[in-house]
Amino acid sequence: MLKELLREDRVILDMKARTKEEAIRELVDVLDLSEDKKEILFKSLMQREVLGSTGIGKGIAIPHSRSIVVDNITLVVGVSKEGVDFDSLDGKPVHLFFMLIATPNDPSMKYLTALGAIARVSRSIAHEGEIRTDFSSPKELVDYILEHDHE
Amino acid sequence: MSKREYLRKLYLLQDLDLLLQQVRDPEYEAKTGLKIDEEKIKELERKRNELARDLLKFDPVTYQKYEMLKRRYGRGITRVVNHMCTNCFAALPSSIIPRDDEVVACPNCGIILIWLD
Repeated sequence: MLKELLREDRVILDMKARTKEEAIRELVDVLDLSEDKKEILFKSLMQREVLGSTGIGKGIAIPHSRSIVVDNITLVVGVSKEGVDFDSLDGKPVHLFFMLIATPNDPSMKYLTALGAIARVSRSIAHEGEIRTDFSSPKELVDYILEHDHE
Repeated sequence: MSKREYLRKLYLLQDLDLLLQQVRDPEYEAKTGLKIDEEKIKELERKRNELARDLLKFDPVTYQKYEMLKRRYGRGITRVVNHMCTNCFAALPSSIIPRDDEVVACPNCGIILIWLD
């Protein structure tokens, strides 16, 4: 499932963000969207964060939303070497982000399945202890994630 | 409020409806492990209902249409891409264009259309 969604051009190897708002903006900025659409998407993702942080703990966050601005289910992965204060469940800074956006109509339940797959991969990565942040290429990061995708 | 502003708010309402639908889905917590505090959901519902009241007051016909379409398709408003409705994927006639003075609907499925730059 994740193999279909991971794209090397939708990866950030060294995020500059230090706050939740900055991190979400930086992830949204990867997408080839107009400023207007980026703003709509940003607000939608932040609205979800109001309900509770998507920082699931152990240095990983999964900001997600359904949005009218995308045509297909879209995943952006970001790595922060310094870590971002994301109000995570365990209070720890986030080093690995999976931002998932789906279209408003999702007849095949792809969105929930993808969220489930990301949560599973996250647990597998977290289980190893420290999260790697020293990727030298997008491919290396994509391969690292796929190594943890045991369906 | 112009029709353009109205549609923006209607779109915001749909965003909130989709979010509520998502977090109310029992599969959501099971698959993600993310538990949402019930009080926060209620707070979001209050915000949603407040916005819905404003939209109903300003243009009851469009608002009721949105609610009817949402029951039918799971959403009431959709984006136009390449002059195509993204709900039913029908190509729109050339006479269908974005208008500031009225709400435009897809002649095929009836969904409310929005053009985003």
